[in-house]
Amino acid sequence: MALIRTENVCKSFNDVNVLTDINITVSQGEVVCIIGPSGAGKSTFLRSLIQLEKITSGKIYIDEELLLYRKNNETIFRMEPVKYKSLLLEMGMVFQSFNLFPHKTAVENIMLAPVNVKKIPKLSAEKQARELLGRVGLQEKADQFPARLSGGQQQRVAIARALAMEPKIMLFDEPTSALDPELVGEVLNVMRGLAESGMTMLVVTHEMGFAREAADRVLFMSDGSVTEEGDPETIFTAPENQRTKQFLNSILDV
Amino acid sequence: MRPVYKRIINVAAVVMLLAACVLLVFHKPAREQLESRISSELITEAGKNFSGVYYDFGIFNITRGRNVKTAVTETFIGGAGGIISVNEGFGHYLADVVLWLPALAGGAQVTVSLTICAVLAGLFLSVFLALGKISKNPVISGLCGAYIFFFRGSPLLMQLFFIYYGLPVINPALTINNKFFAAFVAFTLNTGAYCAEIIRAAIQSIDKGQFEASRVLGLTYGQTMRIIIIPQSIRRLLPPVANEFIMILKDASLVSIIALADLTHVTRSISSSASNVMVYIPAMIIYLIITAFFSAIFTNLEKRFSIYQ
Repeated sequence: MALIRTENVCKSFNDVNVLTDINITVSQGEVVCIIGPSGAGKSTFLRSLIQLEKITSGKIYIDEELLLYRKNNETIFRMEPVKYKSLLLEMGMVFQSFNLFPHKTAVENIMLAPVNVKKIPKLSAEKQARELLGRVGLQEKADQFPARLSGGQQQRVAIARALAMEPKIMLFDEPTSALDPELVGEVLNVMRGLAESGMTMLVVTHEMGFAREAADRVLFMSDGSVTEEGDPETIFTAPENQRTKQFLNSILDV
Repeated sequence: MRPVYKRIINVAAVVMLLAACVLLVFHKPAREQLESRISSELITEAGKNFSGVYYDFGIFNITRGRNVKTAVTETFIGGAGGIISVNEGFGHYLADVVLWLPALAGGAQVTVSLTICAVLAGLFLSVFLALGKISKNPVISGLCGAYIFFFRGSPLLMQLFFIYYGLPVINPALTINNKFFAAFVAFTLNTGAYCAEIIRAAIQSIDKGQFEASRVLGLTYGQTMRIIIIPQSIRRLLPPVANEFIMILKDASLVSIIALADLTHVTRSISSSASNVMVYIPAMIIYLIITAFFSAIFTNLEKRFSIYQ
């Protein structure tokens, strides 16, 4: 079953095409990594899926339901508001810059949305939050403010915060790009665990090692479109597209 | 060990001070005794022009007889079992200051309560103005922008004057009889406009990622503002609000124009009735004390709101 499907998604900022005809499908339980050079539109695509950016045209299906259909910058169809919101909440998102709420402790960060959006009683939300912190290995940091946590710990809290809304799909927007090299591993481990538990994941990343070993499928994006797609082994060892070859060469050389 | 030792010294000092005060309270002369020191020559000579004042300041008391026509005065301070006469020099000035204090304190009370009420109400108003100004609805944002433009762009003195004297002319139903309330309305409307800009700047200085994270988690706009954005902007808006508070405290002197007895008004009337401009010195010191007190409160608040950093 396809949890995410897009048809001809295009996006332009003042006549500059950022995304051109993106057609992808992410099935239940699948881990898909999007790789590609900076400025290829990877993040914009992820942000368009969760409606942080408005697409210019195209169709977005979430959980086999048409969420949004736009054409020439005009909305042709949009799911009715209640369902729209619930479909969007099927996606959880982790940002490059964590975006934790600095005035709330780790556990409060995680409880906040369940309590205020899902109206779950505080006590059970806190219990769930502490369990999630255990899952990302930060039980003992529950009552710390984000400023007291390292980058890797903050990102793990951010993952737990997204998981607290029990999404079906997790979107990761370069989750390790803002981290010191020695902190990348702890975040990738949490993501690997998540992938093994069967979570559907769409990951924009520059961590080729992670993409190669954890992904079921890799999409290569350049200049706003998906230019190559396949299982990680094929993409990394025998890429067909010239752009992919170039990119992998330049990255793996370093 | 050391803190305990320090504490004992502190407690002992307070106890001794209190004991000294109690002793002084019981050893000040009676009112009649103090007043009887005013010479009968002054009283007879002044006749109808005689004015006498008596103030009891707890640990000491003070009396003054005055011939209003000739400005001849006799002042006596009583305390610690004795009475001294201060008819000239620095002692006389100090006695003047002490005698002005009750009136000055009354004026200061008006100034402080007007400032606190106006800034609190203005802050409340300004949250809506700020949210309105950053609203995507052009009508709401235009209205709020116009409001802010008007109240920041025209003199507070004129606004105050117009609210007290002008509104009744437009429509008698808009008459505000209570001077304090009229001043409160004018100052609230004015400071609301300034605080709205402070709040808008503070909100817009919050990282965009905070809005995005809230949105992705399903929080509504109202929840995002209430739970995420405004609490974070409070720390950033405290310093400029403290500034605005102190400005309003001093601008409160404008209420003289509607004859509300604030600290400045009281000072001016003392200065003209006693024909002594030196009353401005204690008045300014009182302003400084009030300012210092509220600056300390704001510094404290700032610390309290930055615990998470």
